[in-house]
Amino acid sequence: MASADIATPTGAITGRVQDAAGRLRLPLTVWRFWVVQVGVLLVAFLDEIVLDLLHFLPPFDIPRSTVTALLLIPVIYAALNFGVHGAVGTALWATALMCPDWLFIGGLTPANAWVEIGNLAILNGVAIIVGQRVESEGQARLRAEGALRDSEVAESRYRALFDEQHAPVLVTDAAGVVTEANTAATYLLGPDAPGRLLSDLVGTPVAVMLAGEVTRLPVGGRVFVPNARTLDVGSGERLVQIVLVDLTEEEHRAREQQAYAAHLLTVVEDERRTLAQDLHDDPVQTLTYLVRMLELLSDDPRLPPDLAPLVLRDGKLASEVVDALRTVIHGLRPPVLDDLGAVAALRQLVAEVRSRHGTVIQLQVSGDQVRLSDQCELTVYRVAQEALSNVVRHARATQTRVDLHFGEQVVLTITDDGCGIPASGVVSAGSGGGLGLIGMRERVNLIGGSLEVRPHRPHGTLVRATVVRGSVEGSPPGR
Amino acid sequence: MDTPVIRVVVVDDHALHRDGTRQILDAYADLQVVGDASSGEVALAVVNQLRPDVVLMDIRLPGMNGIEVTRRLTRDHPDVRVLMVSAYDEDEYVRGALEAGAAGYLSKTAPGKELVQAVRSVARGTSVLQSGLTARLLLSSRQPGHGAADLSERELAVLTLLAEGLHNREIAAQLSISTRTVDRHCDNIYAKLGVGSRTEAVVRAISIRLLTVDDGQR
Repeated sequence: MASADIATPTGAITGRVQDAAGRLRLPLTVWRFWVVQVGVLLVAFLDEIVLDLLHFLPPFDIPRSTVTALLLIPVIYAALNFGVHGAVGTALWATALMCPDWLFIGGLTPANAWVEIGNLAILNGVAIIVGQRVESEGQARLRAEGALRDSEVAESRYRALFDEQHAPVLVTDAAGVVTEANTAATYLLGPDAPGRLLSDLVGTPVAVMLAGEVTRLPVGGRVFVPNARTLDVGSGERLVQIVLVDLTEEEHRAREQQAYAAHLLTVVEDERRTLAQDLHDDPVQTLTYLVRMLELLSDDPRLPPDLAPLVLRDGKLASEVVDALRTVIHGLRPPVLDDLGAVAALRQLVAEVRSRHGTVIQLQVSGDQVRLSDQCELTVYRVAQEALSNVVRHARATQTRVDLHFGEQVVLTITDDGCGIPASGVVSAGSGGGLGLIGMRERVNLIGGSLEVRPHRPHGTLVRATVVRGSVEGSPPGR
Repeated sequence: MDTPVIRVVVVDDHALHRDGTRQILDAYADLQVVGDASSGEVALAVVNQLRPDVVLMDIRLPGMNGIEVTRRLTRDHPDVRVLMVSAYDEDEYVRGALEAGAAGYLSKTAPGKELVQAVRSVARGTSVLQSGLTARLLLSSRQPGHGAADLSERELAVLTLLAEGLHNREIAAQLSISTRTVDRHCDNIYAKLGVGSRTEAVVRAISIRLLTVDDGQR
């Protein structure tokens, strides 16, 4: 119990000191802080016990301010090491230790007292100023270190991105010399890539890439599209970063799709040709024979007179079926195209569109007319058919021209003065017109030609298919 | 009247049609089918050997088409008359056939009597177009002086309008001349082309390339 009674006030005092220390944020856990405090204690002991109480006087005179000056050493040390709190704590401790000196030691004149107070004020002032200064510098250093750490993290992240990037990435200086290459780029261009001219490595100078003029860059058996941009580095130096985006797979897929589309087109056209041929060979021939024979029969004197009109009527019926079949055959694949060639088929097509839709169409054929390969003639016909169908359906044109020129290449041009194709029409799969254009392009590409679709001035559309005359087969055209 | 028999060769790749045509023609005493062929190549050989008066020619044949065969036949045998008989009546076929030198064009569905008349006509040296075909053909004159016949510019103009199927009165109105003048022009045209009718005049004009079938700007 007694021990508890004694312990309680002691605990309370300790608690208060700890609270004060907490408010002051004294570095109580640092042993060097305690060493400093012991230093202060020693100076105070020297002053009050040795000099004042024991009146031990050295053989020389010690001015009073020397003691304060001595106290500056631990205070400044504390400021440098523990910041403003450590310094103020130490200064207060020193002040507390020095108080008995002027309270209990005699011979204190008012002048002396003011000197003492001034000294202690300086001591505390120094503690605050130096402490604060040290602390602000410490914080600045911490901030600088933090920023450095952040930039190192960013740098290493960029490095990782740069190196782990699947796409080859190169950095060149303004002159086009490669300064850096990531793993993929090194793999593609060889380990000696850094230090060499970009144009030596990939055959294209950096300026051309920056201009965005390179859309296809074959390097080492693969195909890339370079994505170049300028990096402004702090020192005013300009670097160029080039990301090579790999198009090889995409191109491969596109080629496969094209081959598939071409295959489909060929299959469809073969089917149509076979179907048209079969319809012609069997049903049409048999029916025309029937028409003629029924007509002959209706004229036969041996036929009872009341049956003659019936036979004649059935003959007419068969004749109508022949007409219907001919229309179907023509729709599948016009026989004129195979028998007489593209020019005759175009003339027929133009005449049909003209009479069916009342469209004003001019057909102009120029150059040395020859029969072309089957595929070539079919392509010319189908492109014209699709283009004219677009004109009739969408263009609201008053004048349409179809030009077919036989030169080194065969050029089919269809122009109209209608409302033109909206930009989206070329790619939009939703509208029949868009698909039609895609189909035309597929057909023309299939035989190694090119298709151009563009606005026609002042208004309207121009569709131009250019195909290589190449394989000219068979006889001159039917004229 | 002792009419000489007209010797006919039938070219068609369908046996049904060859036999049917033979059946129709052989019923007439003045017509005789002396041979037939199922392809263009065979036709050339058969005609070469038999020298018929008239060849009935299908257009769609395996290999060389009927128009091409006609071109060769009329070039090698100017005295042999070719009458196109086709299941198709597209203008382009008619035009191609006439330009290749065919003397006439008939549909396969034309009545037997019309076929017989056509064979007789072309054998006589006149030309035949199935009714309705002439008017549909839109023709234009070539540059004057190109053809063998020496037609005047005005005669060429009249011929062009004839080819479009206009009657004399309409031609007169269009050219602002009298009907009588048109008649006189027609007589001159027939005389110069050595023909007896307007259809023949048009066909002859096409075959000697005095007229070409137009690209049809209407």
